[in-house]
Amino acid sequence: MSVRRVAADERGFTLIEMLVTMTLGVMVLFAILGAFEVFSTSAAVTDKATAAQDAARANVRNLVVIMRQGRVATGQTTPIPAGTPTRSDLVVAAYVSSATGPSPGAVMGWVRYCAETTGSQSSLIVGVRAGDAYLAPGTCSAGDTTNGWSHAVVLDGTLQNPTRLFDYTTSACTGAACPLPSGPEVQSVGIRLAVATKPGADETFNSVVRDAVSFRNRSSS
Amino acid sequence: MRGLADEQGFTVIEVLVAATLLVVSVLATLSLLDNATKTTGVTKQRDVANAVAQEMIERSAGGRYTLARNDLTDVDVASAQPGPADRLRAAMDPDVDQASTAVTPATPTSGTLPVNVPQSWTMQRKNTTYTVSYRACTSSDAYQQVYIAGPFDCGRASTNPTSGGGTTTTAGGCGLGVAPASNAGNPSTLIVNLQVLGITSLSSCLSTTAPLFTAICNLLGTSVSLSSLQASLLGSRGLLSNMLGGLIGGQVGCQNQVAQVAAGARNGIGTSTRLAVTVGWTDLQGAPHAISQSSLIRRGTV
Repeated sequence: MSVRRVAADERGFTLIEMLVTMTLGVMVLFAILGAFEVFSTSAAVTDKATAAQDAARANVRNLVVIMRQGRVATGQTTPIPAGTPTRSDLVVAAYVSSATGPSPGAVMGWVRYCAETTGSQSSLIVGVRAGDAYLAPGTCSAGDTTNGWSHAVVLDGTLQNPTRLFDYTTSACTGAACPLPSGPEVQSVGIRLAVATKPGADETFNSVVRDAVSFRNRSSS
Repeated sequence: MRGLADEQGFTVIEVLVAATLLVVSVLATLSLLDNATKTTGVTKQRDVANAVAQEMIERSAGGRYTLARNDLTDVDVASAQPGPADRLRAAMDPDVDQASTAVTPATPTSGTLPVNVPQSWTMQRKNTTYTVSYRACTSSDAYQQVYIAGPFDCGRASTNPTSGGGTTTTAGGCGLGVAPASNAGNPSTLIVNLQVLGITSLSSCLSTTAPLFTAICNLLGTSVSLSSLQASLLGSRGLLSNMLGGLIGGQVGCQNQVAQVAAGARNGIGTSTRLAVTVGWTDLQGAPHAISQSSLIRRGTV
């Protein structure tokens, strides 16, 4: 008897209570899903921005190391070959990796960093050539093999301000207003690598990595 | 209905206490977040400041390599010609898109060691204004008892805020001083002090030798007793006795000897420049911050 009476007292929830509760639950669920979507998008943008910034830093660091170890090739007076470097194209005599050399990374060669612009997108290209003699590279484009150079893309479409990639310090003049120096006149190189999202992308990010390198093994002048 | 009547709910006191606790905890959390945001902002600014200082040191090391001179101080402050500090400023902001200001050189301090001349300018990076200032002094190697002595040497006090210490002439010109090195009473310790008074003119002093010839020969003169002067100063060895030995042969001999000295000084004397860079900024709350980096920049012909 007592069990039956207790069961009879359990009246449960009314329909109104259930509807209100379910409505509130659905609203909370949608809010959570919305927040999750926002967080996911933000995380994706952050991941891409971080990856682009890491790539920019890695390339700047690599370029700095290459220039610090810049050598003076036969027939040259400085690590930068005779000729006029531009603000988007720089060639440095360095030691490069080669599978056929005496040891990896210890082969005399040349490294080129340049910007390739196609439409509204710019990419950072790295060219490498083994050998002491300087032979001018061809166009700044992945796959170009002029004079034994090999080129590859290291920043695909995310490079910004490609005409401000490098600046040069000489004894006579410093700054963008100066005429471009010849290679042997360059005493230090400034690097400004700006990366951002590709045009038309939904997410947006931008970052600028700066550095500078002085040539300490310049010949007497 | 009876069940509903039994629901007494919370009292006003209970609600107020609970609400107060909730507000306090929320405010504490918000304060924590605010402090974290401020700290993050200052940390980002500090990262940029350190990068600026490092870039500054690197670009400073890109000065003239073989000519022994202090490339970092801007002694020719009165000149309209851009000095090393101006070139550094331009190098730090090559496209002039970061609103950098002009270099503000300070007056050299007399009688202090080392003689440093702080120079500063401001520049923008990521919506923050940074004040970049640096001090530099140079130490010279000795080559055949000759060393380069500029106005801002690390180990020598300035006696003239414009043109430097020691025997001075007009800023921008060249002069020769004969100064005791460590023992003024012992003639054997005398060294020839190539008193180079103009940073920008040192190149011409050492490469175009005529002004230096003139300065040295005028200092020694032709009417004094050269033999007695030679004996009293240096004896049989040393630079000055060789120089005077050549001078005995006439003015041409003096110039030949000085030419050798000048060539040796240019090609054989290395220098080390001590550089201290300070980058200061003000955070969003108005609090000042600053970081410093220092480096030794070696220039030589090794």
